[in-house]
Amino acid sequence: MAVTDVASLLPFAAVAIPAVAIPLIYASRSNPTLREAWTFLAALGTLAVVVVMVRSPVTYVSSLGSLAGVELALRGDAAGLLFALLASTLWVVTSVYSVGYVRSLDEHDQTRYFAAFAGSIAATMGVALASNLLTLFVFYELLTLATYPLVVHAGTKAARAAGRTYVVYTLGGGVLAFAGILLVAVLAGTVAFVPGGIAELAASNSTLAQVAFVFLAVGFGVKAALIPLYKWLPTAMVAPTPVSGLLHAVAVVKSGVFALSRTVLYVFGPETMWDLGVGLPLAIAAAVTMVVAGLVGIRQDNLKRGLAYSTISQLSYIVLGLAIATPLAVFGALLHVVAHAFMKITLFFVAGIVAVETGEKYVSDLAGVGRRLPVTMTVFAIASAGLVGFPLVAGFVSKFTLVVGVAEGPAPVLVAAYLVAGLLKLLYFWPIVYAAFFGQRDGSTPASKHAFAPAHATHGSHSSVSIAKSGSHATDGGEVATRFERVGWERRTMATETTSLMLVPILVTVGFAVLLGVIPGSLPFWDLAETVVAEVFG
Amino acid sequence: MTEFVTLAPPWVAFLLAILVVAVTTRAVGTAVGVLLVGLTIPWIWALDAGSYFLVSPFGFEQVLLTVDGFSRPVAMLFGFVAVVNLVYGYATDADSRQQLYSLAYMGSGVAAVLAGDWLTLLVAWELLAVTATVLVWHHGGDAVRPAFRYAIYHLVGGVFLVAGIAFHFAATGSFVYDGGLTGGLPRTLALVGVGVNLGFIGLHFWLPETYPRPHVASSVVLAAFTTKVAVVILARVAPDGALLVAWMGGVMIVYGVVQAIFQTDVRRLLSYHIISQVGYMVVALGIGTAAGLSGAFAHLTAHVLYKGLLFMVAGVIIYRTGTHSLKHLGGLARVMPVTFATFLVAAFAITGAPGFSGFVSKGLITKAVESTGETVLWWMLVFGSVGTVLSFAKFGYYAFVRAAPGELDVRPTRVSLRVGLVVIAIPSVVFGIFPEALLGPMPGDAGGFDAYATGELVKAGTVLAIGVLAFVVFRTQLARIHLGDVDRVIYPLAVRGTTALSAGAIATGNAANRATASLIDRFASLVRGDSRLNDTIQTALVFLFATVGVALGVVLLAPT
Repeated sequence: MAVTDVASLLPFAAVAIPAVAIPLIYASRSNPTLREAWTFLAALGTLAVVVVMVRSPVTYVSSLGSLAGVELALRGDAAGLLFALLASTLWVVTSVYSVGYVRSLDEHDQTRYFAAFAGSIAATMGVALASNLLTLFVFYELLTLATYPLVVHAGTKAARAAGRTYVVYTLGGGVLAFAGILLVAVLAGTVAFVPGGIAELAASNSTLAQVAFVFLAVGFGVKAALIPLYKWLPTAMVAPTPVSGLLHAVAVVKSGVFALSRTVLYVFGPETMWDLGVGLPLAIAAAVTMVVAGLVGIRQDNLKRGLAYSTISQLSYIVLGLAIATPLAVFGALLHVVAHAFMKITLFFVAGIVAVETGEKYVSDLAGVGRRLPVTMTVFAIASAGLVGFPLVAGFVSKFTLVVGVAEGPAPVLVAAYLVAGLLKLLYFWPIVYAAFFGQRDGSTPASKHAFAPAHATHGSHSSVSIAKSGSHATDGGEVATRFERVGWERRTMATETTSLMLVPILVTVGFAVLLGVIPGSLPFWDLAETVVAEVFG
Repeated sequence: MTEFVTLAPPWVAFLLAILVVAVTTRAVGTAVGVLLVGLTIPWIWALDAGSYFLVSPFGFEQVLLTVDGFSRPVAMLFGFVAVVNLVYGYATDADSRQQLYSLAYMGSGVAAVLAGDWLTLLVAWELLAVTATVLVWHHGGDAVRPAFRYAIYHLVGGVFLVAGIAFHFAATGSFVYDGGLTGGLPRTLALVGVGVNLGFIGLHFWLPETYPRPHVASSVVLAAFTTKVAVVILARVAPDGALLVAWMGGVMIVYGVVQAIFQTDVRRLLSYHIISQVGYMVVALGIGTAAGLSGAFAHLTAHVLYKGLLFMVAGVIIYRTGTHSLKHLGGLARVMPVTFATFLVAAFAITGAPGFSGFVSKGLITKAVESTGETVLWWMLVFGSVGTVLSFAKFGYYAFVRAAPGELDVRPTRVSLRVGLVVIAIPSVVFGIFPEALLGPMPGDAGGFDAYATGELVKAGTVLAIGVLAFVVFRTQLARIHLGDVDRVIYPLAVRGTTALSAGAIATGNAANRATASLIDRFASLVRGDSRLNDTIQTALVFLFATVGVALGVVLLAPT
């Protein structure tokens, strides 16, 4: 596809609209309805701008001036728009859900919450649309800072500790990434993204190029939660659930993955990466991560932590596809960025509904919850089936493409990692679905217990630290499950199980997940991913 | 006509039936369902051999419908069985929801058989597993736990199939069927995956564990599809056979029948017989001759009909008496004459008595094995036949012939029950009397097999005589032995193994985490001057300085 660059304010607008919303949200802090209206307007406005760029035949570029001789610019190419469209779509859904969530729990500091949320989206748009490594880096670091208030939102000691871990890991990764960017600038003379890789970089000193790649991979690998740099992610689960849903399942972690895919596809190029001999180590790191995170995950009793480990595992699905770098594997990886986002955000939203409606956050306390939340748990079942890789849900298409792509790549044995990780997902999710529908509260039947973990185990061990951290009710704002309810679940229907502000978002996201599983080509993500593969592999 | 039948794949009839069942009453839903599903029989018959509906929704070329020697007879057979199952479900008080799940499951089975490529097959294959789980779950009670394990078994099998298919694609660049999966790794992986559905010994326990639990109509439905779809796919994966697979078939025959002999739950007894009978088909496909292929598909057809009938008989017994144990049954021949008569037809068919369908198909398989010279395998078949006779002599004696050990409260029958039993019994007789009707439409080549040659009659007669005699001699001893199965080893091992692996990973991870945490703490303590200040801002500043420092370092060191 021949693309022409056209100077335009559109990419800038995608970043500016959510950024402008921040002062507006603060200004109307005394009027929650108006405040939420700004969020919705900004979300819809951002989505509209991105959609205009997606539908346009030309590529839009906005210059943001220059820094130290490098031009900062935003450019709406296929890869960037894929990520921008994903994040802006989900921001709309998350905004609705957020309103339902914070109001149900009567959260404190709602203004700061919505403002930081808008700031995070602005940074994410910047990461997505950055036209070179330096611009990407600036927004990448801004994203860390913008999400920090959300991680520590609860204000408890545990939340602050989690926030510090979060900042140390992600900013630490940023330092390494920055070193890598400088090396690339020195070696290649440019940091602009070139589909298929920068030619000068391929021709430069291979040892230094290797070092640059390692810096970038490790630096961006922090947010992509590669082993052993993943620890901030489960810890950051003290954040309110919508934050975990959009930021820690989509925006932040996918920024890491996205930056990595820019590095692999647009800076080094698949061929150079394998010529330098750094493709295989990255692939192995991803394979190990997906299996180990899967193993650790099945022993988590805290639902959100379990989902966090699942995210770690799923991110490595994508990284492995990028590392193998056959056209099919890259295509699968890009599809999985989208598929995983829709499925995982659904699961987090369900976890949030469960927490809001019942106060429970442990799998072992959820036996029989299907009676109380029938539609919510059915949605959970569908989304988790998708993560396991079951047909007719988005996860099947992307995972199958990844498996086939890796099978025909240079290291076919790594297919085993996908299959083992898939089985571990099955062993994690299937018992939850089973317990939700067939278990009994405080029952002694096998269906009523966690299949692999003692009750309330968070790390699988009984270390007091871990329980204090995640058991501090950081997200409930003091709402604790009323104990007398424990005798059993009252039976409710779709109309009464929860507020429609929270139910409609999960129906929408799971609807997208199923649509992507049945007719994946019906949404623009498919075409964008095809364009990326075409321009990278020529 | 051609345009009409190629409007949509025949399984669309199942989808439509699901919609109708979902919105109408039980009676109307069943009636319309029977019509729609019955329509698939002439529909598939009218289709010319070939591939239809070439689509690529997932970016790969797919063939939704292929009509050939494998798919045509089996899909038509499935259509017929689906009709009878719907009627039977109606007669045994299955609710609309259950009928709906049955339709979804049977439709998945038909879609799997009609698929023209591995990707379409995979989708249908996974749907088959999950719809079966839901069908069993719907019954609730003690069916729930086995169904949970059922799903795990089948999704694990699905993973192996996925791997086999992915490597096949890597080798050939296409998913469309073209003479079996690539030999070596792809085929081996796929055989393990298909082996779960076939009930390869060691991977089989889901079958006797699940099938006796749900609603009686669900058992009938389940017994017809999962293993038989797997037989067809086995033929697709390895059309030229594999001797190791044939031996596994032999083991299935022997192991299944030995377990069956000792069972007292009627449906559990029949479940083990599925393993044993599918073993015949696996042997026939494994030896890889044209006669074997023909025999396997003939036996598949005969088996679906008589095994469906047997499960219906068992269902009628359970439905009308409320008990499922042979220990408490007896004297039903007088109370349920139609049921008894149809039981005799099915029992004669499965034991291979002359004049019934099993005689023809089993005779052909035995003949095919004989011609390969695998003597041990041949004796396994014969042993299986004797064991089958023995266990059905037992079934018939305890349920129908002997006087009831206690008072049995028998519910009255109804017309729809009888209709189901009789309709599905007819082909077992017809195929026995006219072997060409059974063997004609099958793939492969029967090689001029004469079912009613003297040698065949003598063989069948001997087997029947020995089997009945064995029952008479060993009847009292049989009741005292209780056999365990692989679940006693596999289940604890699986749970403990998984838990231990996970705990090990966590322990390693925790150790590593402690190490990094102390490292970070030491680093952080360098910058934590005034504790009243926000430590995060400090941390951020330190990283800013670190970034600049690293940048300067790199610029100084790098060649210009």
